[in-house]
Amino acid sequence: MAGEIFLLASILLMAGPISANADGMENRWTSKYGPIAVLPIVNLSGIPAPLKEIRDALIAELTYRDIAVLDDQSLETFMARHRLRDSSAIDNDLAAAFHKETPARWVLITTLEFYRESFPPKVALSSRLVRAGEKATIEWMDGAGLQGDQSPGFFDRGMIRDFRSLLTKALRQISGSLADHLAGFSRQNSPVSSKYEPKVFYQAAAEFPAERPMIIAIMPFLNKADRKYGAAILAEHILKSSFQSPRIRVLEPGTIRQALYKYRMIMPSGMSEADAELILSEIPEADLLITGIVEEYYDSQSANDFPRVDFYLLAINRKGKLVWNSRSFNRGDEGVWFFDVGSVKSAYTLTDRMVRAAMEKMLHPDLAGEGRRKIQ
Amino acid sequence: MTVKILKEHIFIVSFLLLLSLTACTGSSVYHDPMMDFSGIKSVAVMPFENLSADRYAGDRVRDAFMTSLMATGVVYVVPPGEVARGISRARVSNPMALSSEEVKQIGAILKVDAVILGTIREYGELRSGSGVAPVISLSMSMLEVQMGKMVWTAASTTGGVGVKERLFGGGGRPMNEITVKAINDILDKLFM
Repeated sequence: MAGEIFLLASILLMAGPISANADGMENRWTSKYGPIAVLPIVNLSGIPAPLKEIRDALIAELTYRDIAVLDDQSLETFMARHRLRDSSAIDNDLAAAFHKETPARWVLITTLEFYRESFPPKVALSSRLVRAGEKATIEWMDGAGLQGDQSPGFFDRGMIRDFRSLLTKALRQISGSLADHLAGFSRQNSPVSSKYEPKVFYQAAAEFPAERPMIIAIMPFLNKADRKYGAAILAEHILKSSFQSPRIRVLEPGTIRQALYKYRMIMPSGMSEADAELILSEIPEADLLITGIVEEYYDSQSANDFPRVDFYLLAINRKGKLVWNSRSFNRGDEGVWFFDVGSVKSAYTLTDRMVRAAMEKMLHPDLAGEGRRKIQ
Repeated sequence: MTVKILKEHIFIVSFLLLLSLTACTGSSVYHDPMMDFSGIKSVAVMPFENLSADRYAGDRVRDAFMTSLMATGVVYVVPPGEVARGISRARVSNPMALSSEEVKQIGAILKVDAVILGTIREYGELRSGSGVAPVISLSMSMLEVQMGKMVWTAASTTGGVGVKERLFGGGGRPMNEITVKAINDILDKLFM
């Protein structure tokens, strides 16, 4: 008898949250919070891509999960009225306008990082949800980077040869993560292997307090890589990794862009102390400005090729001083000895791990001096 | 008979040693004996002169050097954007070859104790026979900003085709790894 009660209780416990999630999600999102404006996909792949098709597939996935989407007619009218062409970020003015002029209470910004239809197909996307209102704030961010032959399994049963299937899988991951977030569930990232940690780093002592989240602003990165948009892609990864860290609060890039436009700032050689001071006067809540240099961003081009990523990460404090400087470089076939076991096939995944490792290291409070080279 | 075999062995070992020496690190260093290096708390690393075929070599090695120098924790390295602002404000025509006056001027603008100049002589793959391996050859110098005179200079060459590459191929270590190795060698010479 006790065993039966225990079994029944277990079933009820397991079933409870699932049914609440499925019911609650629709009520919470379609009626209470209003629809999401899905902006046109930003193409950072460097090649022509079927952006409309990808956006339509994304909207279909969101609709399937009962997430209401602002209709295209209203969005197009709004974009035309505000001359909104760059859909990679929204500033405070646009966030307020969205709230005032459309029923949308959220804006979904999606970036296409990599796209290849030929075998092995590959796609890398990231999305973020920005609150429409007085202040543009990031509410959620996640992404997916998949390659058809990433996990072939026995007799290639896990191989994905069709691009559409791969795209659907990626969009399902993203929309699933968004739906989980909206339903109040949070996902935990698995720990990153130490091989992805920065190879060299400097951390100024007592600049990274552990007691409260750091507020960071991600500045434009310098691109020295052959890959077009390498800097924008890395900045996107930093943004995602920062958002997912509980110890960081990251500002929407649109608000930083607004400050850069205001002073017509162009930084071809990186940020100077004067630039930092000027930007921080516009965004007084920021503790740190994060910038960097992308030396290499190479994505694998065939089944037997591996990605290579090499970047520097710099953090500048409110006084304009460098408080973090690190260099990370890795290859997708590092530490691989047998049959590609443990290999990383896409630059998206490799960069994601490297950035997470670097950010973890940066925020670690007791590392001042540890990354310093031993002097004989 | 035994002596003959021994001589042959000595000859083979000597030959292999000679071969391996062709790929080892070579260096030279100068420290101003009158200079108190502990007084240098902040430095500005100027853009490096690039004599190699790779047009990005100067930037790549400079970025790597700045990070490694800062990671020593001994000196503060001014961010590259700030250095660019200093060069622009000092109206220096060639920041890779500074005169004493220009060094003093940049030092005053950037509020640094010293300026570091660098030259990349070789950066890329070196081919020798059937062997191919990356090689880097660089030299650096430090100028203090009070007088604008050179107080330290060092050079390092790392990589190249060694015995392993000649016998087994393989292409040597990746370029960024030998760059870090060469920079560490240079830093050893700065703090020796």
